[in-house]
Amino acid sequence: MFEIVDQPIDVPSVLRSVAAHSTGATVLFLGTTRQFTYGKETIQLEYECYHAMALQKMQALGQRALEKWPIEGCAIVHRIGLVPVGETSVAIAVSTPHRVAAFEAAEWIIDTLKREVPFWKKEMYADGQQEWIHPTDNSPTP
Amino acid sequence: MKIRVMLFAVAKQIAGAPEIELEFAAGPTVAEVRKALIQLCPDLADVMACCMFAVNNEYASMDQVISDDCEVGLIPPVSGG
Repeated sequence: MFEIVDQPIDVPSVLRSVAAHSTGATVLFLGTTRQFTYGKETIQLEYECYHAMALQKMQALGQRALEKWPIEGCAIVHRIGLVPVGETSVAIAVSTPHRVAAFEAAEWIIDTLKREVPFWKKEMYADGQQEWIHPTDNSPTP
Repeated sequence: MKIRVMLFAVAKQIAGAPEIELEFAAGPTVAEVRKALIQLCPDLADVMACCMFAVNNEYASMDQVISDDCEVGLIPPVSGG
């Protein structure tokens, strides 16, 4: 399952999509909107993406992960638009026969997605400021 | 030939438009598109110092040649997840 959605992510359906009798481990990663970053209060995030490229890159990530680990099921779902504090912006689920590969693959997928896949977030702060986040090598929050 | 460059996030905000159309005599390289974008919209110069270009949904090198059926995107540093 590789999807870009503009509504809350249906996490149970993400988990169902990677279920298989051959798996002994499923790792679910959820990225959520954090209220405070270095003392600054966020009300919500706004995400946008380059839709065609992002979807293609998400599918390619699944394929690359499959070449590295014995994956039975892999799902990446990213939400765009407004994502309030506490809600989920990205869900990644990986199922494998044994747990080590599932942990490794899920971590690799989120790390690589954050570096390569064209999504962008705009912080909308409690004080009314708004700011597009464009991390460079010396950014404080990877 | 006309090349349309899709803009995102802070680049779109600075340019005030989701895309910019550029005119070239012949198929330009990515580097030539970059130069023309900065000439047309000098305010983009700062952010473009750390932008990548995508051609047909793949990250492109500066010497890649663009034809008129290519989709070109200016990609600021990504911040998904």
